[in-house]
Amino acid sequence: MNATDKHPGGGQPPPDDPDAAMVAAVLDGDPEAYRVLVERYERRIYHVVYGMVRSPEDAHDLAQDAFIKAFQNLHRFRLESKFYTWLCRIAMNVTIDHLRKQKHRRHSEFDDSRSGGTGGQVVRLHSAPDDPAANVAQSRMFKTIMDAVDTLPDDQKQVLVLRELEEMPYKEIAEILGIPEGTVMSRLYYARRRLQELLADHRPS
Amino acid sequence: MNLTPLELSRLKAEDGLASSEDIDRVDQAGIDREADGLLRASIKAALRSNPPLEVADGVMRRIGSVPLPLGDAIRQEPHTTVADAVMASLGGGQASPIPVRQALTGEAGIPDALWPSIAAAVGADPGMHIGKRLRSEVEQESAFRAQVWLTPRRRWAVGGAALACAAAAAFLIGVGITNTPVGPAASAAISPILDAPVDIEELEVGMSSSVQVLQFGNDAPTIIFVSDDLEGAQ
Repeated sequence: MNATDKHPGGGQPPPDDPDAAMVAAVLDGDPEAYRVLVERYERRIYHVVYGMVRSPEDAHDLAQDAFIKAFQNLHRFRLESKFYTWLCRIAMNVTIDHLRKQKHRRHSEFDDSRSGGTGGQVVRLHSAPDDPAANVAQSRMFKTIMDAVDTLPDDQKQVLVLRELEEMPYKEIAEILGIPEGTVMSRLYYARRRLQELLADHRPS
Repeated sequence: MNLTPLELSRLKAEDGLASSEDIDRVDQAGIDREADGLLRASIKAALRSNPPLEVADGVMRRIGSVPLPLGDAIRQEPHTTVADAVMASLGGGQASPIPVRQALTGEAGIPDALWPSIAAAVGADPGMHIGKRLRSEVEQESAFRAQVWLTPRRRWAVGGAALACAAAAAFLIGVGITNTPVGPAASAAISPILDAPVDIEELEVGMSSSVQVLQFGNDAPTIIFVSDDLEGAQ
């Protein structure tokens, strides 16, 4: 299937949508125009996918797969919606498929039996770009946080990544994931509480 | 699972969407909103701490669009020749600025991501430089050990060594083969030829043999002449 096989299924693009012209150009037979879209969103998609898989190589491959899948299905994209939202949905689907197929799951260094956490614990990061020791501590803290994120159920992780990384509104996350807005909110809430529990004992010195 | 009103208020407070009523509810419950905010900031920072890899070239190749087609690049330079391109790459001549190198590297894409898969194929650690591994393998297989005068930095010394050998042989033939120590005399004779100081050290290793060591300098090769029967230098 090629992006140029069919024209989009109708709809008018938002007047201020910078992606619409590029999408139209690709659909009119200029695949090089797709590079603009890829370069515009590759970092964001990579980060979103990385937040889910935590492997640079997998994130690279999955981000690439998402862009290719989007290209192959571009004729299905309806111009009245945002290209990035649609692309992000594809990336999430590709990533979830990958995670489902992945037999090997990383072992968590966190004790699942740990309980407690009333929400009052504080996780503090001290930013000190000129202090090597502080940078090492910060890197360790980032790893600890990412390890904790990794223990979340995939559905909570999806919501968390889209909200914290992309700062997407609940409604857009709901649209991407195809779930009700209320479900987005509850998943996000429980994801944060879970992380608060896990990170309570990992405060940087 | 539905959120309670307090949980909903707390969520909105975390995301900066809370009304004053939400804030009051959260505060009355004794929840530390600052802690919630810091948690969120920490998660965000951690998620953004991973440097992205470029994916554009890979995507464009897979959808069949080559970033910088070599053919187009050449066609855009109608008056250039292969010789021009070669001269340009060598840095000489009045070559046309044909972007062959750029076109080739552009067509090949960014190679950084290739090594991990290559490393897996050759059984190497992805963090190890392939040149180092290949050199190690070659040395092991050939039983060859790197010789100082074969390193690129010292190739010049090979020429010097050959010249020194010729000079030394000529000198030894000229002065005859005797048991008389020849080091100082040889040095005096060879140095002007090479236009450089030459140390020749003669070692007595037996009644019927001698060893002569020629050293041109700290970075130059060492030349050793061994004479077994004093009838000829080897």
